[in-house]
Amino acid sequence: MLEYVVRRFASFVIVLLILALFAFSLVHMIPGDAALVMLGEEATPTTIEALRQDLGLDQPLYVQFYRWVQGILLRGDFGTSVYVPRSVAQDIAQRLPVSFSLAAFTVMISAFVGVPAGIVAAIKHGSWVDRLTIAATTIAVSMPEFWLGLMFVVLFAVQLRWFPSGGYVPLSESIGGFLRSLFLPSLALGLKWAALVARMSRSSMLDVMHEDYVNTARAKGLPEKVVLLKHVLRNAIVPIITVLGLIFGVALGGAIVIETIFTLPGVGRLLINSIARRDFPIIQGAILIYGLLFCLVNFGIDILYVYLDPRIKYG
Amino acid sequence: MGIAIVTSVIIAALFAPYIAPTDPKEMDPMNALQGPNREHLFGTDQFGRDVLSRVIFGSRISLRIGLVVVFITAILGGCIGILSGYFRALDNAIMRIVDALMALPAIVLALAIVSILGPSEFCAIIALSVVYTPRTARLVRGSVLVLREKTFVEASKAIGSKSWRILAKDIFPNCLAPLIVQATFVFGYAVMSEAALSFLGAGPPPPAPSWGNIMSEGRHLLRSCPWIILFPGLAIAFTVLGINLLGDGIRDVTDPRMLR
Repeated sequence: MLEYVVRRFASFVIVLLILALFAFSLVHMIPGDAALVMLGEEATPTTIEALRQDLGLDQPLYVQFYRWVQGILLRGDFGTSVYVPRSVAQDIAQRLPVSFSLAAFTVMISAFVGVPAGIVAAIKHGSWVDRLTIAATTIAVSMPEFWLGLMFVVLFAVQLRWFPSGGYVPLSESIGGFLRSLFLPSLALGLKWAALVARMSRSSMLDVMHEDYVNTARAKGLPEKVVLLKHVLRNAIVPIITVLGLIFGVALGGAIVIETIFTLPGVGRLLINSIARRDFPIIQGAILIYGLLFCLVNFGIDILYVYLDPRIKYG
Repeated sequence: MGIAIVTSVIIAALFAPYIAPTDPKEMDPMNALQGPNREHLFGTDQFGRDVLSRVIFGSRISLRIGLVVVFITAILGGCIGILSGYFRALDNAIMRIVDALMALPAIVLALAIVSILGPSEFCAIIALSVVYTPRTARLVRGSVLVLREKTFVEASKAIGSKSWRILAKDIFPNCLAPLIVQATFVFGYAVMSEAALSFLGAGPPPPAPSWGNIMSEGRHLLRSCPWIILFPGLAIAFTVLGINLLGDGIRDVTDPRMLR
């Protein structure tokens, strides 16, 4: 198993490198001169030249790349935002907890809603409960999550006034506020993924339920409940956990739109604003962070997977 | 049922100019911000434009983008997947790049690409194709990996068929089924992602009535005029639902293992 871990880690590093290359090259893939694009057309030649020097754009490409990576690895310095004289790293670090909490809650909601639903549907296979679940999940998956978020705002925040329609309350200020401000966004994002989780749980359970060893257990005379808990669930849970991990990664991305709707100061919103302003240092940094987190999560899942199911040993 | 829905959406898109009661770009400021009423079934937006017409025309844009993306993704992803699965030498390199591209959440990657190229319909298509091709390639590669071990391929090799012949005659036709299923789902994702991109301002620029655009323009009026957001969203949900049902249907037909 150690060999597998090492191999996975190697892949992880390689992927990260390619990502870094990609993020870095963004600045250079712009048609036209990067500095000119960033400053706009009214900028004077001196300002443009200054920015070019500042960003090191006048150096050969590989030197730039090397310096950038070096800055990140050695000093944790992602550069400075072009618009506001703040360190990119600081900006991102400030907003990371928000996005992180949102993603975490989303996964929780998906898990708590989706998994039981899927399991129940599998157990009552073929009944109206099962069919209803399938129908509901199909519909839920088709809905754009930002629309759902917007509808929630209209319903819960405007009409019923149960929840705030936006803004974020840090955990340090008030727990209640924190939870309230994150509830609707996580719900909007989470319900959709909950449908996916439910589907997956259901098929996973159904797969396992038809295995031979389950039949053996039943033939042995074990009560149905024990059969379910000890044999079926334990084996079915593995792909479910994988999916949940994946959802965390996807939630980080999908959160971008939700953050915009609910005006949560997360990394997603930062990214969007930076894109609008062509603030490339931030864009590069944010992309790298997203990629890093996603890879980390996937890496973690891979390791977890091997740990849970020793039969998997692909390389 | 999926077929019914998708067909109706397609018809709506194709015949948009005839069905839509008014020109979607025509502004009628005196009637601005009306709720759904008999004259304007879906209400009007802040410029007095009829929302129903915009939604109908929006279907053209969204479907157009979706179809082109699916086309590109299927062909490109299919080729990459087949080549990668069959020729071990290419596999590693290609897969690393694919992994890297998949390392970013779809929207992030799409946004990044659009940030370079600028918001437009064409760039949205490119961005979305780049996002979804890796996933398709992965899938096709998986199929190919399984197929190449099968006996009939071995038999082909034994009688001395050249590689490309094996690829064309044996492997390719058998990959088609999962590819088509995946293509329909990519269609659904593409439509949704395009809406998300437009909503964020990264898609076809206004006044193009892409569903996402309509929603983003109506966002500020959310409290008072929810219909501007409600209907495009419903349109998206409806369309994607149809697409998904279609995909499910195709999958059920082509994959006899699925007895559930």
